[in-house]
Amino acid sequence: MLDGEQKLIELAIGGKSSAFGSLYDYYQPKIYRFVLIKVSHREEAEDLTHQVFMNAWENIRTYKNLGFPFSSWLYRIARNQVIDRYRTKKQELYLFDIDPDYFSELEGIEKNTDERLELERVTRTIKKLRRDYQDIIIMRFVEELSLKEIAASIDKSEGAVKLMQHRAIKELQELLK
Amino acid sequence: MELIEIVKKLKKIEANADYTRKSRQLIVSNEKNAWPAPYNLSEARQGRPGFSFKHFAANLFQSGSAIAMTAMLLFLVFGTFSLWKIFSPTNPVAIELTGLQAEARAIDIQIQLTNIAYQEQTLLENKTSTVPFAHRATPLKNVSGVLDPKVEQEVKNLGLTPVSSSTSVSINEALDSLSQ
Repeated sequence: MLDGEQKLIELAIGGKSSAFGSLYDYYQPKIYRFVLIKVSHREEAEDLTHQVFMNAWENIRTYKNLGFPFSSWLYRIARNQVIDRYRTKKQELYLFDIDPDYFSELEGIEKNTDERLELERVTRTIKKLRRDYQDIIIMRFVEELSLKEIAASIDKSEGAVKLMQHRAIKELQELLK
Repeated sequence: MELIEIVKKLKKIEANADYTRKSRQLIVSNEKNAWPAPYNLSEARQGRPGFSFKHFAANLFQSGSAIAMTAMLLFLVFGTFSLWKIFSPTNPVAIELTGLQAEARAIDIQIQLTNIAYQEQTLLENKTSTVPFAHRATPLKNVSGVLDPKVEQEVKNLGLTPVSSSTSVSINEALDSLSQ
């Protein structure tokens, strides 16, 4: 959570765009990563991330702190944006549709060829999981959100998230064998 | 767990700096409850400049002309209705009143008082007669006022002057003539 986040949120709700800009600076990389891993297409991830923050800014007055942080609200918007995009397109995301630029980004992450190839394989396999499992894997292990934050994002109980996390890892391991 | 460690490496993914800057600028410059943003992210990708007064003016003109046309349409609808009501040649209320008045004048109420010839003698005779009463009381005059010939003869027998139907005689005059 960002320091002074509550104050920034209050100012943003009051209409102060600079306050929302600060929130954007902090959360944009996280949301972008989350969307990119799910869609595996850089340009599409940029569009969706932009739309997430545009929607958040336009509807900031509807955000109410119900005990979960602002990030959960953003992730919820991001999840819905990805779902809506593929519902509109009426197509399944095939592994062959992955943007080559996406893997060039992984090249910047991991110089070692073997490890980079392994990273690519894991990324492709994550996309084979069901939607909820993908979200939990990314939020828990990539973005390092708490169980409480994840539960608020996907509208499930903490116990359910814990169980789903366990199943997601197990299924991912099975697929990677 | 090795798998988890591999997944955690994805945290190093970052967005393009140029995209981030343009996206932020667009979002933050979009004042709430104000005019819409001058352009969207796809236009920014095509290399169009930042804030464009031309774009802003175009959006303003589009919104303004839409409002003006709506106002004009409403004015035409209500104005036409009002003018029609004012210049309508027929006034339903007036017609109704005029018609009623005309109808009232057309009614030719002619109240004709039928002559009632009171014949004391006839009554006395009727009292002593054995003829049923329904047959005794013969109508002296029909509705049109013409004297029945039989009645006329009876009146002459009594020494009275039969009253012509053409002349209207009041009841008082008739009683006076009978009492003589």
